[in-house]
Amino acid sequence: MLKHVASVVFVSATLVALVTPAFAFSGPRFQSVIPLAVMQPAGFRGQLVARRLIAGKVLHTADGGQVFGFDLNHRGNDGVLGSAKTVTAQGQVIASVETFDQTTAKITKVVVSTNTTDDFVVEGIVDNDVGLILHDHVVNNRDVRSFRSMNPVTSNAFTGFWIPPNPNNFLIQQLAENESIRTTAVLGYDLSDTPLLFGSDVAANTHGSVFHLDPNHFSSGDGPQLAQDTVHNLAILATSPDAGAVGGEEPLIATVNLQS
Amino acid sequence: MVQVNGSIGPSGDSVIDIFDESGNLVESIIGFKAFSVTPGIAINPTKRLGFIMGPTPDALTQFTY
Repeated sequence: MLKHVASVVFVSATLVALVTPAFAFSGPRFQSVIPLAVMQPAGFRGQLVARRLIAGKVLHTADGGQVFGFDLNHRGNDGVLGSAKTVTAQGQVIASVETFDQTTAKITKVVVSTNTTDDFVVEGIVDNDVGLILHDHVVNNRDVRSFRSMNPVTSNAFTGFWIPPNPNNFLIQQLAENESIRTTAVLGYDLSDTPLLFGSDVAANTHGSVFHLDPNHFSSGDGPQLAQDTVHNLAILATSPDAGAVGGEEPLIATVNLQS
Repeated sequence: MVQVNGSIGPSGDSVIDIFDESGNLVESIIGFKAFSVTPGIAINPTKRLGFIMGPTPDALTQFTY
């Protein structure tokens, strides 16, 4: 990393010259393209040098709301995002789920839009373009959570429900990155902050065994991170033994066989 | 990997670092500001394309690698 930092001196002047005139800006609020520079290690000491410029197209939500989760289809050209913005002091929210084109960085369709106190969070795309979306539906000041699926996302519509184990006592934390096999690892918590892990076929709305993890190591304060070994059907968890203290202990790594 | 306040490029800008599976830095992308402390990022390995949250809360920035 020190080499990485030191190289700034050598490349900064080059970058200013390369980046500034390359693209037209349409203003800071609604940029359509940002000029990006790609730096690569080169030479004996691996100093970073500017290799090329790329046009970073900027996608804006259709309703101007903040992005609440998004993901890309690994086998296609579509993506999906959640958007929400508060529009009144009483907490009225314009919320939507929108699909977009990866290549053009343009919104394809507003799948659903509400103007209530509800909101939507895109949890991710799993399996073969199956979208999973959290819907926070507020009833009498109480959040009634449900999960909608889009199978596939390119249908531009909600196509079903995904119901986790013990749904009235479940908060999702992470989906593992997996668009290659049907079973996806899911990490969440019950309302007592007890960490839960299970594998789920989101498209079929089915689940495997639920593993209750040790809250001394995998509670939300430990910042656990989830990955999945799709070849061996393992969930891989990294967690901080000291709640992520700066300069602290190295993370603990745990594996869970999702089939057991 | 995303550095919100990057170690290279203009002060205060963000950096996307791309590593190989052995942990070697392949390239770094600069010239943008990511939104939030832990900005979301997603890639499509088939197209070697990705999006990152920012520069504004309502936006995603596309990149290729």
